[in-house]
Amino acid sequence: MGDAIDNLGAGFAAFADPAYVILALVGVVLGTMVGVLPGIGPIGAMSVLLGMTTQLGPTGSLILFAGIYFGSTYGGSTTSILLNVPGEASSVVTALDGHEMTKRGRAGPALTIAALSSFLAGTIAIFGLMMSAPWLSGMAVKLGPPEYLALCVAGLLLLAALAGGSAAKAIVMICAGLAIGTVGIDPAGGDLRFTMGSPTLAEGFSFIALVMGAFGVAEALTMVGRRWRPKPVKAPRLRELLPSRQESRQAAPAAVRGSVIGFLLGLVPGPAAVLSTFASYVVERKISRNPDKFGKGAVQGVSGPEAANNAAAGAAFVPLLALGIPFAPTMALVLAALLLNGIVPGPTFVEDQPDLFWTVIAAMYIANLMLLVLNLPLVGLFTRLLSIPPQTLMPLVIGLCVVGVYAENNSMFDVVVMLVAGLLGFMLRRAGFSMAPFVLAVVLQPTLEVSLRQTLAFSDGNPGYVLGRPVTMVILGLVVLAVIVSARRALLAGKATRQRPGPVPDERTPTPGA
Amino acid sequence: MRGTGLVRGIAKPDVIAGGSLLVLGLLYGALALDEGLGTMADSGAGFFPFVVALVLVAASAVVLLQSRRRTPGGLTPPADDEKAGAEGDAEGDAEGEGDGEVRWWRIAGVLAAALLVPAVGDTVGMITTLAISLVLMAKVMGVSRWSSAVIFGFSFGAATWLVFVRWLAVPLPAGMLGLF
Repeated sequence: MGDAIDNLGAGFAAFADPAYVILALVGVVLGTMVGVLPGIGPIGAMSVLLGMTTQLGPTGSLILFAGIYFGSTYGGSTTSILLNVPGEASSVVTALDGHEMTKRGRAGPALTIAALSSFLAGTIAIFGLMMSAPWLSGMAVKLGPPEYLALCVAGLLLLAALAGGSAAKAIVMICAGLAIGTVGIDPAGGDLRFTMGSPTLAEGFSFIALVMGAFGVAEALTMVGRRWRPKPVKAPRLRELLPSRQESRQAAPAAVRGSVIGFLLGLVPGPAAVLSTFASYVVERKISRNPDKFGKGAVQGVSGPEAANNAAAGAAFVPLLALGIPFAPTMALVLAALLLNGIVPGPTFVEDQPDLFWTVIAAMYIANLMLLVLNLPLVGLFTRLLSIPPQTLMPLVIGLCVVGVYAENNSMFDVVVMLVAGLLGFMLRRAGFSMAPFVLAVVLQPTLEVSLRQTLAFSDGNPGYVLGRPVTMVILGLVVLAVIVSARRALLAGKATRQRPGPVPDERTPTPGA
Repeated sequence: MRGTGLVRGIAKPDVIAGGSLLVLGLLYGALALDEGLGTMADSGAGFFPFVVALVLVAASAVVLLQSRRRTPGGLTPPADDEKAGAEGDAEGDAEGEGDGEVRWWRIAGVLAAALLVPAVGDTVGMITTLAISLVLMAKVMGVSRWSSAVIFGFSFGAATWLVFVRWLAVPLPAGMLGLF
């Protein structure tokens, strides 16, 4: 423990460099902005900035991305509470009670409770990360190809099974991502494949181009194609922000519980941030003495989920840094930023790069502190962003994407790839295909393929080799369980839809989506 | 249901996307076979792609089946990647977010403007081309005055030069004319 504190001190000492402080500030401001603004989320923002990461270096990139990630969760809860428009998927639950508090004239306390709960959760998560990442790294050294194969499969399948929407479509996008990732050099054998004789494709498709296209450009095109009307927002004044003593007493224990739930769920593959908010809400309602207050402005309905999603955001760094496997699409981008700078996270990361690891821990704490200090007094300013027409903002986004992707390899081919990926991403999203599994699959493809082929080579066709590894069997067992639960839920939902008498289709009345 | 692409209970975007991906999966599988599967103990370059192709074809087939089984009048809900409520509903919501119609001409215009950069950026100069591209995008998006669009585009060009060329020292092509 003493060593951890000393190392953390060294991490904070790195912030004597004002460049890192500025990057943290830029990250949290950008993150809050993307959280508030519709259309662009943290993945979009990170993908737009991915091209700059080689200039920023690994430490600068991680500080910036951590700031964006945490900032976006704060920003998302602001619009949830004030407008009943969740800025992020992980802020949906906050809107249930947060907006009710706004309607009762308690918008300021709701925002303050959300901010303080997030700060508390961020602190707990960072502490958890400090303790668990080195331990998990030590364990991870003992993991072999079958375990890494199981973890990659778990990450992808759980995202498909639990993220909502069609699991088949998610699997299609996973396969598309894996297929795109196979273009170029065979990671196991070193031969070129699927390059059609083109030297440009020998290195494969640029990950930055694909991600910027699938997220940055696709989201920009979505906003380009829509009509927009301004939303009037009344942000609370500074003096209206303080919660009452009773509200504070109710919020604090819920925030602690939410933090623990969020951190534990953040360690497992899948859409942890979203799941953790629902889990926290359900727990708070179950243990509350007044469950009927939920949905009508219960303070615990804000503090618990907000704490949970922030804690999950911090916990998501644990498997990435300790195992080198991103369990969420946002972490895939953080991994990409590290790889572009020649840093490979994994079991030896904490040992080989202690300065980087502890500086990032310190950066996360500083980002949380900045968000607490900035977001409440500046809530009016951030919500004014909603009056900027996306038709002005989106060309800026596309322009940044073009420059950013060119900056990686000085390649106009990458710019074309990005624009094509953007158009395809836009069209696929309209057809109900999510890009998040695609991005995760592209990043995980080399690890997945190498692990699979090594496992087959070591097993020599003998299934006993895998069956005899308990960690692998536990992980695969959990995946099978999650897939069965998800399939059962989908079947029951489909059955209920078929049994319920639907309205007679009428040309004048659009029917709700299936 | 105007503009939803719904035809006789089958969601058209689903069918097009699912069908295209199924065909691509078959093609990919054929290419993977060409690369060589090897053996289980010594898998070839085509082994992993072939496995992926099999799963892709199967999943695409499921998507097609699901789209045919959809309740008559059901719509394809757009993917909600990370922004809750980012995609349009069939009607505008209570907050006035917008309708579900897509302005394809705007999308085509914006993409065409963006494609100017790879088309002529190396010749004319990246920053100049980017500025012109943004002027055109702004006009396509509905900025009414040309002066506003020009200020917008060239401000972006200047900011790009400051950030990427001066601060980050990224070499952007100056073009044959020696412009930015």
